[in-house]
Amino acid sequence: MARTRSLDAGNPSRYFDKTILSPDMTPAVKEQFRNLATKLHHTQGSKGLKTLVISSALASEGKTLTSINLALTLSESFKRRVLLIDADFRRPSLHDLLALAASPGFADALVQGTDAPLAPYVMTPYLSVLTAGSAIEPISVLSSRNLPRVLDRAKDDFDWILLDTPPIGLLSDAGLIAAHADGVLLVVAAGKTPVDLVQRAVATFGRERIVGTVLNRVEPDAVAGGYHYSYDQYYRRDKGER
Amino acid sequence: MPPPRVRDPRTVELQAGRDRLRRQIASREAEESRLRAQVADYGHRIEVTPGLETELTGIMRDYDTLKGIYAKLLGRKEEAQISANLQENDIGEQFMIVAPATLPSRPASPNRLQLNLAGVFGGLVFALGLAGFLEYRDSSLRTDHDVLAALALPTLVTIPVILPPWQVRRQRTVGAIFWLSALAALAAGAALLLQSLR
Repeated sequence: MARTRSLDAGNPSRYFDKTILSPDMTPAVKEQFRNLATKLHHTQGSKGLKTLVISSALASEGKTLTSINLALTLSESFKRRVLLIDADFRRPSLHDLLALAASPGFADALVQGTDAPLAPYVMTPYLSVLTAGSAIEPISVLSSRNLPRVLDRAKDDFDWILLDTPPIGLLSDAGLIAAHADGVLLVVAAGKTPVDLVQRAVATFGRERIVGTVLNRVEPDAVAGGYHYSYDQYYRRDKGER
Repeated sequence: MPPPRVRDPRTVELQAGRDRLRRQIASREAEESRLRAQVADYGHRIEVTPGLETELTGIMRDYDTLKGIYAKLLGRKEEAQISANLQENDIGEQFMIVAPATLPSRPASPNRLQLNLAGVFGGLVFALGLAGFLEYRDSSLRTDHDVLAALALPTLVTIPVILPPWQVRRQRTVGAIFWLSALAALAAGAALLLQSLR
């Protein structure tokens, strides 16, 4: 019982400008997400990576926007079937960013188990989004046997399952979800999170489970030694010549 | 009845001489006593002479002091009398300026150059100290090299700061205001410094 919703339907949230859908998004940022998708694509080929937890040590490091942009890149550029799940039951935000209803969603699916079908929003032919839903006791929902079952069932229908989780440094939810996922993508806000907290997050997940890190909000000058600007200039000149 | 004894004139004379001598002796003894008393009195006076001299010195000193005070008070009284007379006769306006007061070419205090230089140096030291302290306290990760060194994990991508257009515009405006303010502050500081040097 899928619900359909166009990506540009409804009122775009104030974060819309930060997604790669925005016409104002710089080509360099889009290219960075293509790089990320390419690397994950190769990892999937070599290690069978399919279920990916996206988390961070602290709140507000850019997990959700990274999840959305990665999902958009994998689905629209790589034409892979992607299910983006809001697994943050404490502070769900995916529905706000994409102007969707929060319930029913992932929590409801975990409560009902495999008996009820998943009801994600179908945003494009390749991208589906499952909002957080309503969970009174997140820990009991996440520690139930239904979590691996629901994820396994989703694997049949999608090439990628991206789970946007709460920060591991504050809550244990991400750890519970990561135990049933194939890997973890750790988002680190540059110049913000103290290194000891990031190290603690790595230790909590387990180093072997972490696919890699995404260093977010880096000063443009520090991105590939200032390549950020050069790329933008090259891209604009290239478009202008055409 | 026995006949009355007739006294020998010689004896009588001797007896009279003897009585006279006795009287002279008594007189001389009285005079000796008087002279002895006088000697004792003079001796006593000689003995107490140093004490009197000291007392005299003290009295003379007090006298001189009181004499000085009296002279001073007398002078003041005369001055007061003169002032009173001047006021009464309204002749105070006859004072005249002998030499007018002159303005100094430079203020004695504060030393503006010294203060400005101290301010510049202090501000520089404070800013450098604050920057150093913040850098020392900052343990965050800034580059992919930092991540690799601290976590021994690969950085798949580095995403630059994503700012919506309105935020970019605001940041540019704030930046322009900041730089203009900084330039204005520098110009004002340089002008003050030049003024101090002149």
